[in-house]
Amino acid sequence: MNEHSRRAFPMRWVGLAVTLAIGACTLMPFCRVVAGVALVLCVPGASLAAAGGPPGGRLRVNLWAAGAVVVAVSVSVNAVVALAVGVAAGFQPTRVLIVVGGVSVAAQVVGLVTDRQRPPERRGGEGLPRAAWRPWAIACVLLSGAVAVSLVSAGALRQREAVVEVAARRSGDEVVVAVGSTSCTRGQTQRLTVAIGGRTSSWRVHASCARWAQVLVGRVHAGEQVRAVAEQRDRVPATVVLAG
Amino acid sequence: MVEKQTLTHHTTKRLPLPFPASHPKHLRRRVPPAALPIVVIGQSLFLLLLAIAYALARSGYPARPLYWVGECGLVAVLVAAVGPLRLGEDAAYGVAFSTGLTSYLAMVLYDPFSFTFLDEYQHLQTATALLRSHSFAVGNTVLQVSPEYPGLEINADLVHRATGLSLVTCAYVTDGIYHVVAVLLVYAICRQLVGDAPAAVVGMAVFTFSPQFQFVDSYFTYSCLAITLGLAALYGTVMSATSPRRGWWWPAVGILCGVGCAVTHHVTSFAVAALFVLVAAVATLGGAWSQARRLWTVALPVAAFTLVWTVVVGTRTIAYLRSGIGGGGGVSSAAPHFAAGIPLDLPVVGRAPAPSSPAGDVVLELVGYAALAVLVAWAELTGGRVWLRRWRREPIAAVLTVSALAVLGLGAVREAVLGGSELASRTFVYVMLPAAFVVARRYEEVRSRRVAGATARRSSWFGGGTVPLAPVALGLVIWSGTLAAGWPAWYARLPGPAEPAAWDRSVDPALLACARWVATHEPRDQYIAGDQLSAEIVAAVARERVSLGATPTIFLARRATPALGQLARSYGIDLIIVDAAIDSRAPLDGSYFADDPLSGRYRSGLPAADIRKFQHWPGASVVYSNGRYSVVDLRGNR
Repeated sequence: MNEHSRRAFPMRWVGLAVTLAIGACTLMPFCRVVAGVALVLCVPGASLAAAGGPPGGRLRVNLWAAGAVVVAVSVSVNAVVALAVGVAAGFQPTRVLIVVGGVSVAAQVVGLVTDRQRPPERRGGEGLPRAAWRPWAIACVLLSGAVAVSLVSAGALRQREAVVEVAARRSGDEVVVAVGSTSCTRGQTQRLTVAIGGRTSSWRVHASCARWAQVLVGRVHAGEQVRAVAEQRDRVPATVVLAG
Repeated sequence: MVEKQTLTHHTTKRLPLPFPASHPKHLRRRVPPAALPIVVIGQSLFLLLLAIAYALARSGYPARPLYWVGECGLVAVLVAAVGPLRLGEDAAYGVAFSTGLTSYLAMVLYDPFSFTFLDEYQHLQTATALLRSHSFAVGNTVLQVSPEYPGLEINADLVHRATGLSLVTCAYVTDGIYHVVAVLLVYAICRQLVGDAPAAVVGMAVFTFSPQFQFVDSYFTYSCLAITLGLAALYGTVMSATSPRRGWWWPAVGILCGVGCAVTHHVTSFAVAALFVLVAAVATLGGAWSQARRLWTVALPVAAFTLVWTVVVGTRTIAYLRSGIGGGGGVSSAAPHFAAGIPLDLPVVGRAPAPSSPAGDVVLELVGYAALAVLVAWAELTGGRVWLRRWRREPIAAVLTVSALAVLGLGAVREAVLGGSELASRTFVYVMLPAAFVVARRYEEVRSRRVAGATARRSSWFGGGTVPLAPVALGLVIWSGTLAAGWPAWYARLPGPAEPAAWDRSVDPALLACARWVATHEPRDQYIAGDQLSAEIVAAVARERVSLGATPTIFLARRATPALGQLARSYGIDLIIVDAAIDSRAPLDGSYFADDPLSGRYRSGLPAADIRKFQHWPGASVVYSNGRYSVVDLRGNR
């Protein structure tokens, strides 16, 4: 390990430690906001430190450092945009920041691993070939694709699974029919048809993500059968009989 | 001309070539490409194929071939890493990280939104109770021993409180960390004991793709964290025994992680303590006093703490383990009710063809265990005797060599003992580390022989040709012996519509909606009956208790007679969970109930009359239904 790498290599660990420390602070409830802002602001610095830092007090511009700056800037910009969009969409800022922090830490780890792959005399951020980070980018895209495919597929399936619940405790109770999806991602309007004994009524209900539609359909007596069917999505018949 | 020669010399010096610069081009040895980028990209690609297979299966398309391509690929790229590719010391850690991450994601992507395994809901109950009560004195209505080993739940709760994420998400995150760290630790242990990076990768692959590690040992269960802590403790012990220069650092790691393991899981902590004591005892007998002293430094505190914790805190452990070993598949508890004059619908056989398993999967399962046994036997027979002769110098290696033989015994237990499948499955992880070690060590010996050029014949087998036969054969054995024989069972390999008694395939949003309704509308600690998976998941989510014994009789009875009501009253059953699908589909697991007298004899679902009788049971009311699952209130029956 030459003079340059002896100086630069600890700087990478310092960068990772700084990022981890900031990430850990983000997890603390009492300083989330401050740590979150610090995280966004410090990502470029930490990335630069991880990329080799300024050995001898002079910043060496090289491929890896330039790449790190690009990553850092994009992470920061993404963080700001993600914060704005995410908060507007109803996500907690903490969650957005945790994702951003995770990406940052991952970038540091990748930097460390790729650096250690190189021969000692070339460590420390000098002359990293562009091909060294390309596999990681491809792998990230493939992994993201795998996760996205599963999330979309499983989410769409659960979205389709509308559930109608009929519940009544005992004879004489008012029957409440609930319509919704067990994992709703957007609202849905459905036609609900409920038959109590021989009486049939129907409603047009809107189940939002946060709250299922609940309809008070009347009283039920012993031996009466309550049957509810929701249309427009999967027809899920639900039946309750009070036998008591 | 002179300048040109100088320039050539300078270039050669800065970038040393793996061959003399004067060699003709056709004689130069080709430098193999680096393994890490190829492994990372390859495993990501095959994980994407797995995700696509899952998505196709959810939508009802045939996806089994694609699924197996994905699973095979995860192993195949490792074969490439230890075979024709260039794998350095540091890159091997990257390979281990990539393997751990992708094998964990293969489990998560099965259902990224909710748990799929029964035990996870049991631990979720403990985690929720700890959050609400801020006290360790919480009970668990389904898995009573869980609060006595709260390490897993404490960690998930801490992340939940810090981040505000849901407990399920926190569990996924923490489990992922445990899983990846465990894989890295297995690599590090093998690397330290064997001394060769590619061989350590082989050991890591054997462990990672062992029958239960990819799924069962990565679920939100206490063994998930305990295995990681146990491995960390073992790594600390190995390091303290093999590189004593670090003073107290590695013994401290071993002790701390061993103690953490003791408060997290009973069986894992017993295994870790027993292993440590055994290794220290062997070192003492061998007269390696310095090594023995360091080993006892770790073994004694860990064993003592484990014993104290089990006696003082884990008071239900012994009873729990005894019931776990003795239970499963018994018929005795249900048998007395057969003589109580209750007419049962026993002849449920012959109405429809039996649920048939894909023949390939069953063959793979059987061949898989045989392949694993052959792999371990090969290592033991060809190298074990030599390693055992060195037991005085290498006590840890000697103990692991002997322990690996348990793989052969577990296969026999699985096939021969009643209910041995679950017992063997759950204990497999404890013998897979020794198995991984012996395979890695043997691989390293044969490989180093090739490097030394001992015989030309072996040279061609281990990486000599374009396609190295030995690593490919090893990969096939690892894949068939571990993945194919592992969890989930053949009927739940792929996600899809919920099936009765199909473990991971039995958990669906409708069941969870039913469980949440019970949790919000019914008092706690009631006794509920139902098919095993539905009743236990509802009980775990809603903090209810599961009634055993009378459940098969209640479901199999033809009519709702007063005798049946008397039976339900005598068992204190308050609620019955009815899965409407059990009248049309046979149990894929072989039995609907925990004490099912017809276990393995179902050819179709229960007769529809058996299910409809709940609607006309005097004093009982169907108080909830979502089309698939109903809740029958029996309290009016009293």
